[in-house]
Amino acid sequence: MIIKKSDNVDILLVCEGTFPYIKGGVSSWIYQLINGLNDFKFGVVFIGGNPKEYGEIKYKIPENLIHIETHFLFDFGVDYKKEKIEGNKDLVPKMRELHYWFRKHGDVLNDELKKIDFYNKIDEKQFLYSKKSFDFIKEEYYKNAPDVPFIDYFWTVRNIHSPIWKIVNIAKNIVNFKIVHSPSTGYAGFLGAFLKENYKKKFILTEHGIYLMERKIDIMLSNWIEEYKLNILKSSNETNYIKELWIRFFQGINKFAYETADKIISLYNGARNTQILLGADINKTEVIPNGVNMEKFENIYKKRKQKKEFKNVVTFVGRVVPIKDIKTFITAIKIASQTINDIEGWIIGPTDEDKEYYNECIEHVRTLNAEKNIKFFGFKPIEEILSDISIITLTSISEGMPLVILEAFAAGIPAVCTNVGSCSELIYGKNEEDIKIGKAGEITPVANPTLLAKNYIELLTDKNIYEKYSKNALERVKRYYDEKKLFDRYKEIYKQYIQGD
Amino acid sequence: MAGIGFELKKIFRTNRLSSLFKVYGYSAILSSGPWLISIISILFIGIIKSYKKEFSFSVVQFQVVITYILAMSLILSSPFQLSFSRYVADKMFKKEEDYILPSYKSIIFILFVSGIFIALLFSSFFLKETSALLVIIFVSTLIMMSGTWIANSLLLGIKRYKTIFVAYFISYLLIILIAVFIPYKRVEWLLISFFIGNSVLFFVLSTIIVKNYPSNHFIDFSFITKKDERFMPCLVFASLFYNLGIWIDKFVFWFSESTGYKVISGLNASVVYDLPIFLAYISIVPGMAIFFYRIEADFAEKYEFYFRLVRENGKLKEIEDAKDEMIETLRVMIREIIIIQGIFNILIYYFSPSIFDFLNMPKLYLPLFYIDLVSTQIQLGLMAVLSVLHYLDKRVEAMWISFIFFISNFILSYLTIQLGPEYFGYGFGISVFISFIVSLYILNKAIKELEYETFMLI
Repeated sequence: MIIKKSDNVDILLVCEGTFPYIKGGVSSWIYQLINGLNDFKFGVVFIGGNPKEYGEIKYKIPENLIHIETHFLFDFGVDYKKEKIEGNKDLVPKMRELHYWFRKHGDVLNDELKKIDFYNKIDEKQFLYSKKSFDFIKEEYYKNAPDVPFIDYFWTVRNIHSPIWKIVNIAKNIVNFKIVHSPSTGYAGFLGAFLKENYKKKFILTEHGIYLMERKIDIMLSNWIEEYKLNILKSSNETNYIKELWIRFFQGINKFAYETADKIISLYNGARNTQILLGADINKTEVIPNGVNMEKFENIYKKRKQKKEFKNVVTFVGRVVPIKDIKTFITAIKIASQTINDIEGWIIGPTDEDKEYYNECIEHVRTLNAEKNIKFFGFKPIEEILSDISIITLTSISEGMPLVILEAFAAGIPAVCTNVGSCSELIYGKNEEDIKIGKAGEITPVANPTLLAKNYIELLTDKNIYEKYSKNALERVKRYYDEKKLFDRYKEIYKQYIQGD
Repeated sequence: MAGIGFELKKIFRTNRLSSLFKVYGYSAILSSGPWLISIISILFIGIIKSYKKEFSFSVVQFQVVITYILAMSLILSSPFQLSFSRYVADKMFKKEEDYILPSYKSIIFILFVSGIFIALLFSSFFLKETSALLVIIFVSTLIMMSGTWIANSLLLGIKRYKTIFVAYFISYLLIILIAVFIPYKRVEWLLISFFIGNSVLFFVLSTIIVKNYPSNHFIDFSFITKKDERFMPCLVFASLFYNLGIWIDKFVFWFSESTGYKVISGLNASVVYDLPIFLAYISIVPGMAIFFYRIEADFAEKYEFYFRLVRENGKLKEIEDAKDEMIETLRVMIREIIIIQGIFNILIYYFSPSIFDFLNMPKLYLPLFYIDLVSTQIQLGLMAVLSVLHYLDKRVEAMWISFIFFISNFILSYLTIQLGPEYFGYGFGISVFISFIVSLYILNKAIKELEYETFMLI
C-alpha cells in the first residue's frame, strides 16, 4: 500500500514493525532523524506482520518525508488465488537451495539467491499452493523432523519462506533512491541488503538493540512453539527443531545484512561488541549514541529547580510487554511501599500491544494488593510527566539505548535501571572521562525487585544523593548525548555515501 | 525493540485451521431413507386395499397422486437440504445454535409460500378435471412433505436417528391404519390419510427441533442476505440436480406417448416402468442400512480422527496412517454392500417370479425389473460416494456428478423410449453407471490429494 509517493528519495528507510505505525524507542528515533536532517528527502518502507496489528499512522508526517509505503509479510495468500497447481519442474531444486540456506548455520547467501531474478523463476504462488512444493516439504520433514507435529513444521516452513517473496516483491517495485538505511537487521535488514545487491546502492545498518538476540530470547521463551516431548525424555543437547529452524533463519538473514552493509552502526559500545561477535566486520562498525533535544527539556529542568518538592513517584516509561518485565517493577514498588507509604509507581506506555501481558500485570497488582501504589496511564508524551516525577526507571530484561533515560537526564531526573543494553554506560559513564562526571542513578541486576526497591528508597529519602545524581545526569547528557551530535554524524555519513566514496 | 517477531505467535496457528474441522452431517442424500418408507407404505396400502375390487381404481389414483407429491416435494425442497445441513453444521461449530431455529422457520416459510404457488400452478394444468377438495389436499400434502424433508435433514444432521425413526413409524402406522379402515372409496379419502399422517410427522419433527434449538429470534434470513453466510450455490445445485436426476427418467416415461397413460386428470403414470423400478428401490434397503451405518459411524469417526491429528500435533506418519484407515473403512463399506446386497439381489432374482405373482404383476416386466435391480444397486454406490465427497468438502465436484446424472438420465431415458420396450430401464442404468464411475474417479483423486489440500489450500 502506498501512502505517499515520490520517485526522488535520498534516504530510503526500511522500518520493520516501527515507524510510523508503532510508537516506541526506534520509531521516535526515526522520527527524530527525519526531522533533524531536513536537507535530505526521506522515504519509508514499512514492513509489518499482519495488517490487523497496526492501526493509524501515529506521527505527523514531516515535510521531508516524501514517500511512504507499507507492506505486510504474514498476509500471505492475498496476492494470489488459492488454487490447485502442479508446480514447474525447476521448483524443487530451487526451493531446496533456498531452504538449505535458511537451515544452514548462518552461511553466506550464494549470489544467485541474492538476485530478484531467482524469485521470478520460483514464485510464491507455487511455493504456497503447488503439489510439488508440498511434496518437498513432506520430504524435508521426513528427513529432518519426523517426530515434530506436522502442522507445526508445515507452518514454520511456510512462515519462514513466505516473507522472502514479499520482500523480493517490495524490492522489485521500489522507487528511486540514493541510499538505503535500515534501523534494524531482521526482515528490514534483509530488504536493505537485497536492495543494495540488486540496485548497487550503499546500505547503512543501524541497530538499536541486537535484533538477533532479541529474536532468540523471543523464540526460546515462546510457548507458541509447543514442546512436543516432555523434558524428561529429551537428551540434554536436544533442542526443539522448530525453534532451531527459526533461530537459524534469523541468523542467516542477520549474517546477510552484516555482510552486505557498508556501515554497521550501534548506539553504545556493548552493542558494538556483540555485533562483532555475531560476525560484523569491525572496520564497518561505529557507535553513534542516541541524542536529545536539550532545548526542549531546558524549561522542564528550570521548572523542577524552582519546585524543589516532589511526590514520591517512580516512573516506568515503555510499552507494556514481557521484555520490559513490568511485573518486577510492580513488585519493587510494593516492597518500597513498606518503607515509603505514599510511593507511587507510574507506568506510562501503550498497553494494547500485548493485552494478555497487560492483564497479567493488572492481576499481579491485585495479588500484591498494590492498587493504591501502581497506576497505568497508557501512552503520554514524555514532556507532560517529567515535571512531576522523582525517579525514572527501567526494569527490562533487554534494552538498546533507551531515549527516555536521556530525556529524563535532560530534565535532571536520576534513573534506576537493570543492567541491560547501554543502561550502565548511561548511568555510570562509558569511558574514563565520562565516569569522572559521577553516577546519575543506580544499576541493579535483572529481575531483582528487592534491590530496585532499596535504590528507590535511597534516592527518595536521601536529598543529598538525589541532588548529586540529578546534577550528574544533566551534565552527562549535555556533554555526550545532545542530538546535534547525532544529526551531524548521520549527515556526514549520508553525504559521503550519496556522493560516492 | 524493532521487529515483528512478537507477532509470529499470532500467525503461527492461524484461525484458518479452525475451519479445517467441521462435522458435515450430510444427510439429504441419506434422506432417501424416509422416501423409501413412503414408497413402501403406498405400495402396502395398495396391496391391502386392492383385495377389495371396488377400491382398485382409486388405489391406483392414490398411488399416482402420492408419487407426484413425493417427487415434487423432494425436488422443491432439495435446494435447501444439503445447504441447510451445512449451514447448521457451521452454526453449531461456531456455537451459534440459536440461529438454527430462526433459519429453519424462514426456510419453511419460503417452502410453504413457493410450494403453494407452484402446486396451484401445477394443479391448474394437470388437475383441471378433479374436485377442488383433491386440489386442496394435493397442495397441502405437498407443502407438508416438503417441510418434512427439511426437518428430516436437520435432525439427521444432528444424528437424532432414533427420534426420527419413532416419528416416522408412528406417522406411517397412522396413515396405513386410516387408509386401510376407511370405508369410503373416493381417492380423496385415501389422500386425506396421507395428509394427516404427514402433518403429524411434520409437527412432531418441528417440535423436536424447537425443543432442541431454543432461540430468542423469530426468523432469520441471513442464509440469503448475509454474504459470508449465504447458502453455497454448489450445494444448492448438487442436491437439486441429484433429486431431479432421481425423477427425470420417471417423468420421461410418464409423459411419453408410448409409455405413459392418464390416471387422474392430467397426471400420467407408466404401467411398464413404475412398478419394477419402485420395487427395485425397495430391494436396496439392506445395502442402504450398511452404507448408512458405515458412513455415519465408522467413516465419520475416522474422518474426525484424521482431522484431529492434523490440527493437534499429529506427526505426518500418523496422519497418513489415519488416512489409510479412512480408505480402509471405505473399502470395507463397499465390500459389505457388494456382498450383502449381492446375496440379497440373487435371492430376489431367484424369487422374483413368485414376488410378481404375489403382487399380481405381469411377468412381462421381469427383464426390466432385473435391470432396475442392478441399476439401483449402482445408485446406492453413487449415493455412498457422493456422501463421502461431501464429507471431504468436494461440493463443486459433487454438483457436477449430480448434473451428469441428471442430464444423462434424461437423455438416455428418452433414447430408450425411441429404441423400444426391450431397452427400457437401460437409460437409467447406464446413466447411474456413468455417474458412478465418474464419482469414483473423483473420489480416488480427492483421497490421493487429501493431505495436500488440507495443508496447502486451507
